[in-house]
Amino acid sequence: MTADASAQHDMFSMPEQRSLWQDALEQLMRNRLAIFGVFVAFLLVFVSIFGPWLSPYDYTQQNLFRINEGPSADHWLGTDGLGRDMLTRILHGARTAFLVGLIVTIGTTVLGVVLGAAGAFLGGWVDALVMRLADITMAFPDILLAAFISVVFREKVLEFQLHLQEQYGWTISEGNRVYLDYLVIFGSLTLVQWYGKARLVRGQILSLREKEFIEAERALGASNWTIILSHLVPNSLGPLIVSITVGFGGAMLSEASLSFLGVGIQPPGASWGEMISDNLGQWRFNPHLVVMPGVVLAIVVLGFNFLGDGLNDALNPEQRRR
Amino acid sequence: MGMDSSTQPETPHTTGSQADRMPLLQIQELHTQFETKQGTVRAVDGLSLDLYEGEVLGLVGESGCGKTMTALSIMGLLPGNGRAVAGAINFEGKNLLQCSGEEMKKIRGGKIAMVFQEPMTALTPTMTIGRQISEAMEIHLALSREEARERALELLEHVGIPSPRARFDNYIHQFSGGMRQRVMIAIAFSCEPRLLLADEPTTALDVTVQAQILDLIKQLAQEAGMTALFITHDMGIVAGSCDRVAVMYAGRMVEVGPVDDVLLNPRHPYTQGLLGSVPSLESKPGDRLYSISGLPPDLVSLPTGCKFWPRCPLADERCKEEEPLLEQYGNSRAACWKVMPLREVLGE
Amino acid sequence: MLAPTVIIVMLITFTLGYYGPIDPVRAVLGEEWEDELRYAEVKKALGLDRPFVIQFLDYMGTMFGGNWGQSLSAFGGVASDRAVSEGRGAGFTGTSTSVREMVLGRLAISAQLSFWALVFLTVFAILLGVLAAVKQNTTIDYAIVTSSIIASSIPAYVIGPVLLIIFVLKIPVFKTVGGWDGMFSRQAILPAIVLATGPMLVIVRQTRAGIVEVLGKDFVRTARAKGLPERLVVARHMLRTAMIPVLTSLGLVTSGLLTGSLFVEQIFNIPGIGKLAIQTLMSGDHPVFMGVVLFQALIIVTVNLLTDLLYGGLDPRVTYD
Ligand SMILES: Nc1ncnc2c1ncn2[C@@H]1O[C@H](COP(=O)(O)OP(=O)(O)O)[C@@H](O)[C@H]1O
Ligand code: SF4
Ligand SMILES: [Mg+2]
Repeated sequence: MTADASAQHDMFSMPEQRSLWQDALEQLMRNRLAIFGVFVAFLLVFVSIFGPWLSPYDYTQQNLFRINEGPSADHWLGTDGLGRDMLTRILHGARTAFLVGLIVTIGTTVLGVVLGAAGAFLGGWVDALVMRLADITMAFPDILLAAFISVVFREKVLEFQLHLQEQYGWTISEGNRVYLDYLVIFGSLTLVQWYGKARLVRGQILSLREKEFIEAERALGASNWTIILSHLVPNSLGPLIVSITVGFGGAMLSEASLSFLGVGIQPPGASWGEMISDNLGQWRFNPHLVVMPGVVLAIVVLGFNFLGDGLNDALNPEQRRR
Repeated sequence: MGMDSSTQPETPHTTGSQADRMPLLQIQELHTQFETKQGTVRAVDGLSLDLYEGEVLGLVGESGCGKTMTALSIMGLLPGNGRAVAGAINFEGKNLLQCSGEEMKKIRGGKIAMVFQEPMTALTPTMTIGRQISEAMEIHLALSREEARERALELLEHVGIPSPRARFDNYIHQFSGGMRQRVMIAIAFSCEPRLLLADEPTTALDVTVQAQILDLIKQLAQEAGMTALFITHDMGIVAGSCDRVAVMYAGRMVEVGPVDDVLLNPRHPYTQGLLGSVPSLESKPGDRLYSISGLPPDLVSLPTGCKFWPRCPLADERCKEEEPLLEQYGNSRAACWKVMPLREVLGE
Repeated sequence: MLAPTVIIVMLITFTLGYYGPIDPVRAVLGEEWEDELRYAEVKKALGLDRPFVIQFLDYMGTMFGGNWGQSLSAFGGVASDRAVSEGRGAGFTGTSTSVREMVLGRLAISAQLSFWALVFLTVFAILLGVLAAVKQNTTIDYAIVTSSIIASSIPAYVIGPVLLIIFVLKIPVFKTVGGWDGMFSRQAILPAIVLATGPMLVIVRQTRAGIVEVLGKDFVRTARAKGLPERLVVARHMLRTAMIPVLTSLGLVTSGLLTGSLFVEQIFNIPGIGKLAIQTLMSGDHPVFMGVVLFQALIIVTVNLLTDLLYGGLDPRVTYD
């Protein structure tokens, strides 16, 4: 078979690593739940980019004559208490979830990798400080800490924005105020969620340092960078990818949670969490207003969890959870 | 299953006293198999064996020949996908293979006890050794917790554990391998079973401890007049401890007889090989010892004819085609087309 | 280990509170805050005119002294009004202004809720875990693990309303919902179930892994060889060894329930400690909010410590020397 031949060819031309990734991909593709996760992720990206063009309404556009309606031909998912189109708001919620998930994941990954690597490589008091900080962050009830930081941070951000406005006349339109919320959530979640990745990266580096082949290469005169590029990166990438995937879902969930509590995305902005809390009073009379954003949120969070699980099985086969 | 080898049950034929006795345990044509992805593993393949009241029977053979699975078939404790698919194991008038779960629970530990090979893993790490000894007595002897405790203390003393009272509440991680095996033995003897299955009880122990444990089992079995199946791959242990010996190869029996006969005059080339690897008192330096070359057969696809032929120095065409049955030679029985005394093989 | 962490947690919350968004004086004075004289007066009364370090030391003093300070509502004004107006629903005892009494009073409610969730978890999740392990790699196993993933991934503020809609609107099992009417009222059932879904997966997975690991062990075979009834083999020889990781994770789960009951309390309008935290965060009643955060941090740190000890107590192989 030609497939066989090409696989063999690959084995010769590319050392191990490539076939490891291929194996992982093949295994991932055999996991139906993980496929579901991939599908959800792609759908989320698509909707967050093209969402606004998919619906004829504006997500802040109110129609007080048509409030709390059920699904109909012109409002497929009905309208909320201010007569805003539910579908439009859910599509915009996808954008919020995705963008917040993205910036928070980037933030926590950068912070986590930098702090974890610094601790592992520099050791001594740097390491002690990083680990101490992680311990302390962990000691807090995380959602309360995030809520607290976002309340504090929001005030500072608003002050700064006001300052810019007075000083330079930079104003911010109503529609763009939601980006201030992104900033607030980004700040608070990054500060609360960095430690997982820091510990992971630190642990990977330390465990790899113990391995004999690294010592042997060091003895042969390999530089730190060679070792980092040839062993550390390929070895830590798997766990890090899993952590990033799970963290992405986690960040989106946290955004929804903060918005649900009223300290995340502020009202005219659309967030699934904010929509749930906003419509919660309607659960008895118009259950769909609560259920729809809830189901969408659940599907996305589940999708990312399944994907994370699937990636974990595929990339770290030796420590399979199931 | 397809093989119709020695269908007749083994009949007592040896010393006059045994001829009159009924066997306590009678294994007839036992087939124990594992269904695996590679195919059916024939771990025990048509084994017939009798155990007489009060005797110690040694079961020997290389690792992987089915000794443990024979014992576990008797206990009804085959692992995972293992099944005793055909044959019978008669004990006290019942076929153990057809006993209900409830009946087996009464027999296990109560009438038939087993000592396992691995003292390091065969005891529960999260339970005191005292409780592990006494719990079986509460069930089988209907003792109260207090009475069982007292008996367990006596047993600990008896199996040679110093200061039993202090040790009663210890956990196994506080015991050495030899001590753990003493605890295992105490558990096995606690309910005064009629039959003891000892599966290589000393193999995993330090050489220095092996003799002590062996002596302990012998002494206790003698005191209780117990019947025992002593599984080992060490012919030295057989010589020192057993009355009769059965030699297993590839899940079946190839030779059986009184220890003296089999050890001094082994008939089957496989037995000769096993003995050849044990230097004896007579062997002088420089003597070439015959030992078995090659590997045991794949139990999924056994060779035709005599299962030993691929490794047998005497094999000929007939051996490859026809399977030999157990035949009587003097006091012992062997399954080989070319039975001859050991001296002829070694002597040249 | 405990004390330094707690002090640093205090320092962080205090700093955040000090530079925080809501000026306590304004929170107390409401509309009147522009009156400079009144402002200075209240600021002095709250002790906010002193330097940061002195305030922090004073704060630590009140915390370690066992008297955790006063809610801003003690000083009258908007904060207290808001606290009262927020405090709708049955069971509120919003009269005390001592932080300690407020926190402990609300904690009692959250603890009762968490207790039921824990009961639900130990019975239900452990049973499912054992079942999944025994039926390893079958459809049943797969279904149990997947549905636990689903139950644990979906946040309480989605599961809660959905269960409300199902069990109040569609199949009217419950009539009154929301609020708190004591531990043994029917109102406690739904919130407890929703709270239990969060840590469900952890327990199911741990139990399953523990049992699977023990299933093929030699010592289980030894126990069977003694002729023990299967019930005793499982209870004495398997469960204890298999349950060590489960029990240690139950510790973490408990602290997770106590601190995570926030959303359930918000959904079902239960005046627990999480609801208190959100209320006081919004109204700017920092002394109370900081009290809650500190207290929860204390719970988390203590449970981590206790878990280690519990592990030592359960596993005879672990010794402390
Ligand atoms: N769980 C199992 N699955 C498949 N085959 C097995 C299993 N357990 C044992 N066997 C096979 O049964 C044969 C006999 O094993 P055993 O009775 O343990 O040998 P021994 O004589 O060393 O005690 C072995 O060759 C092994 O291949
Ligand atoms: S029958 Fe033939 S092959 Fe088998 S043992 Fe005897 S001589 Fe060897
Ligand atoms: Mg064996």
